[in-house]
Amino acid sequence: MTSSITYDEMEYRSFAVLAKTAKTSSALRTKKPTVVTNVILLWDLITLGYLVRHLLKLFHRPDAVRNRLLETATPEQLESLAARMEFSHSRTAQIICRFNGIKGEFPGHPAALEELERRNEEFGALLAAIRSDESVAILVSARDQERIIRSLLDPEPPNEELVSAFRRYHV
Amino acid sequence: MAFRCPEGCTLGKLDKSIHDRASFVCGEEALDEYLRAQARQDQDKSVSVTHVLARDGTATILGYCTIANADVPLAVVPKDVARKLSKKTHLPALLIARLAVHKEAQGQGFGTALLMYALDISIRQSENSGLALVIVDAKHQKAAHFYARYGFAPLHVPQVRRPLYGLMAAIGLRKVAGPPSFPQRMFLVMSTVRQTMAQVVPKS
Repeated sequence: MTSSITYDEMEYRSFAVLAKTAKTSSALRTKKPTVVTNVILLWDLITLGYLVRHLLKLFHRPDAVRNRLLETATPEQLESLAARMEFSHSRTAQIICRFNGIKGEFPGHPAALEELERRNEEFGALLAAIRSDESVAILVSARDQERIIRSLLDPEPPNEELVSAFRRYHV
Repeated sequence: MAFRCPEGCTLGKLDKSIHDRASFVCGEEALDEYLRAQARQDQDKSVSVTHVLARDGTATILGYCTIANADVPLAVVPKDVARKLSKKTHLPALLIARLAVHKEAQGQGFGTALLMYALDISIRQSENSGLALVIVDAKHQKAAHFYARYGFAPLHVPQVRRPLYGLMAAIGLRKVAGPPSFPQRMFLVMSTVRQTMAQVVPKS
């Protein structure tokens, strides 16, 4: 696959999340949820989680990583990208809060809600990284992300070269 | 424990009133140009800091390294791994964005000195505000070998193709994975750097 991610594609996926939050929000307004409405709500939760995941995956796709999507963007591009996505993120957070109010009413809701909460937290961290003036946001592919995490959890001991160089330049 | 500068040299922040940027030549036009035109501006905007190695009492720059704070956002982490990470959604990192040594000073260990200086900064930063990784950008194969010698592992390496993929590539159904593209990004986890320090500093 040689296609490159465009800011329009991000916008499209971000709007897909936003549209889903609007639909879920109206479904949540039902006063006495029946089994059918609960199933619909569960479906909405799962779909919303999937859409957020789908949006996040975009940032970890090899072409986004290779093209240094965030690092090469201008501050204006980053600001407008973050502003577009911020709305989807905060609306998702609202949906999570409203679901928390009816938590445990229907089997399947807690697990789907937990998944959505986790994805939305990741979404928030990505937004914070994009918005940060003090640091560069570095994207890594899903495979490298896993490698980094595994190295953090089980770090390699330093090699001889590193130890001897460190010794040479420290007193 | 303090950093020991190579003999007869000083290491400090880039200062236009002290350092002669115009005469710096390392063999990579982009790195020379960055030092001449961009490094000080980035430093003034607090985007990055350039540390310069110079001969004592002279304006001659022997080498430099540019350091910036970075953030690695994590997303769609597999569940088993996420559980161990305890709700971490991003990793703070130190980015060694550029490291170069003057053409005439190469092969004398100044590159290693600059790298050790950057790692020294990373240790201080991890003690003060937390740091998970050190990331470098190797501009070419030689630089990638240099960092690999000290334990840096490459990122974005093309995946090893399975035998069937090779067959598909041979008949033109699939693209063959090419060699790694440069600049090559590499990383070292801070735990390894801290372990290094623990080995060097004798326990009292």
